[in-house]
Amino acid sequence: MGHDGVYVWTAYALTLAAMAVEVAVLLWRSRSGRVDVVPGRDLKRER
Amino acid sequence: MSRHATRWVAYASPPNLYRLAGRLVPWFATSAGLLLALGVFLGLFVAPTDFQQGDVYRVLFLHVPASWLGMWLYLLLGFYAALGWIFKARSSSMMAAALAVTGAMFTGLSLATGSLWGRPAWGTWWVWDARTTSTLIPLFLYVGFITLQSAIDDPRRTDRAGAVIAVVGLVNVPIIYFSVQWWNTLHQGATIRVAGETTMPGSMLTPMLIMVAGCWVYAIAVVLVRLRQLIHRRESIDGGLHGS
Repeated sequence: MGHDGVYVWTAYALTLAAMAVEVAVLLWRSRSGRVDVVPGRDLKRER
Repeated sequence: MSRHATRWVAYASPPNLYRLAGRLVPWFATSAGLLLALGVFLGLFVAPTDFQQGDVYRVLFLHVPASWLGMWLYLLLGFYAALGWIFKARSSSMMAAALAVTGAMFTGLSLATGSLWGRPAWGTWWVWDARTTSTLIPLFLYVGFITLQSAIDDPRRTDRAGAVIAVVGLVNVPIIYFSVQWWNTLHQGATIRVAGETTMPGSMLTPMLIMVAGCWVYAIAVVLVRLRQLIHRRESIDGGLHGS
């Protein structure tokens, strides 16, 4: 990719890392018991 | 009100919205993973090298979707915040809050990837031209909105204060979009047009559109998960989930 490759790889790494961090934080918040976000779980049944 | 309309209005109720979001998340998350993987592969390894810019143009497969998402999510944030403010609709205010972090992330990525493209293409990391400056402003608005969410304990006051920031910031959205037409900027004009001819060959346009679709479904998936977290927390605190 030539000498410009460093800009391209940095951009892709940065973008994918940002998305991974956002997903990890959401999963951590659900798994740590701070909030429940199990898809499909029904709040009405929990009451 | 027709039965069809009644069914949609029912989703404004936080418990119903929580259940609907839970059903949709797996579909959007799976689609996002597939589309982003395909888009990254096509963008990095299949799309041809540009005869003028070389390989550095591949950054635009990230920059364009991030810029569109940053702008559109702000538009949605302002819309839902205004709905929540005017009609005191809790679900709308929670949707606005759920959009903010993802919108801020995409706006930050737009600026970062723009810098990474600008350094080899323009010879500088940053210029204070109309497009880059008008894109920086919503990042501050997003951060202000998010900071308010954690600074005020009462959710109703938080929603009202956040709505003021969000609605005032809507003025900036058309400025971002038309900045390259209204002012002489270093930033290039629109390459992909809804009306009119797109000045990009199909071999480059395909990965671009796949990345745009991937970023949209990713954003929808994470916003829905965050919305469920907000509904769970707020409705539990307000007693809404236990009282009805």
